[in-house]
Amino acid sequence: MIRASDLATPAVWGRPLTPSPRLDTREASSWFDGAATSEVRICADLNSASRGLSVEQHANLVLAHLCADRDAAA
Amino acid sequence: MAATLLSEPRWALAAQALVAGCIDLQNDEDRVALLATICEGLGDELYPAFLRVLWTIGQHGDHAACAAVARALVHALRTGRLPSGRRNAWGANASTQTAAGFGSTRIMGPIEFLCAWHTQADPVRALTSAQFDAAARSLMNLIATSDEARLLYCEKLLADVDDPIGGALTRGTRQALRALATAWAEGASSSDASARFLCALPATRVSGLSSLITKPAFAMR
Repeated sequence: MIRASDLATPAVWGRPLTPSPRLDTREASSWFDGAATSEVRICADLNSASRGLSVEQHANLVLAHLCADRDAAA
Repeated sequence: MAATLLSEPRWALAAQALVAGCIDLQNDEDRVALLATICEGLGDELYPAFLRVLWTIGQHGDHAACAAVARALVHALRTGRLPSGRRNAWGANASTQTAAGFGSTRIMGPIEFLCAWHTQADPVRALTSAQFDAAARSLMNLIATSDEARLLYCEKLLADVDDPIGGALTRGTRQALRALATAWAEGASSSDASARFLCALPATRVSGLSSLITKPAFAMR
């Protein structure tokens, strides 16, 4: 299951949106290090906030969890 | 403007959001558009982040979650729009070529990208055998949730390796990719298919492989 600590939106989290090194400097090992997500479970349940969105809105939700310059509300 | 990866990307939430999009969107065209929009948003340099999201789904997703993404990949494969990343063609010099330099880069789908990443000339930036194996197995498990996706992907891989003019992969990598695709198409597990790739690489590429494979994944001939 997704951990409770993961269940906040980027806007209210207060986590620093610090950029990381880009691909040419990032070590290959850092991309597929599974230790940090070993307890995660990804399921097919759809919550109400994810219903009826456009392609762009869904893409923004994904990107907001990955990129420093993206906002889920965009 | 190129995207910048967070210092601590929320891989699991991104993966869950991608699954939700694949389930919520009403048709396959939109699902493929979602994959493409995410890749465009990340840009070429962060294409590995897209692979990491797929890896997370393959690693931690339940069957329905994986199937939702695999269904989108089926339509992407059918329509020639597999979400792809850009890598230097073999022989191209990364220090002197721009990413969009004419003839210097090649577009690759997820598995081909991993293969090229593992076999790239600069060992410091290459995936190790263990990293390649972990990533490739998870992606193949995700894709194989749909038999159609697996077979279509194998067809694509075999077509790619029969195209030496493309220049995306060295001859040795193409031979190894052929071994992977052939085994996977014949129903081999992702572990076996990955091992076929690694074992088929020229000997200079597989130092360290012995630490990954403790017993033969398939019978010796």
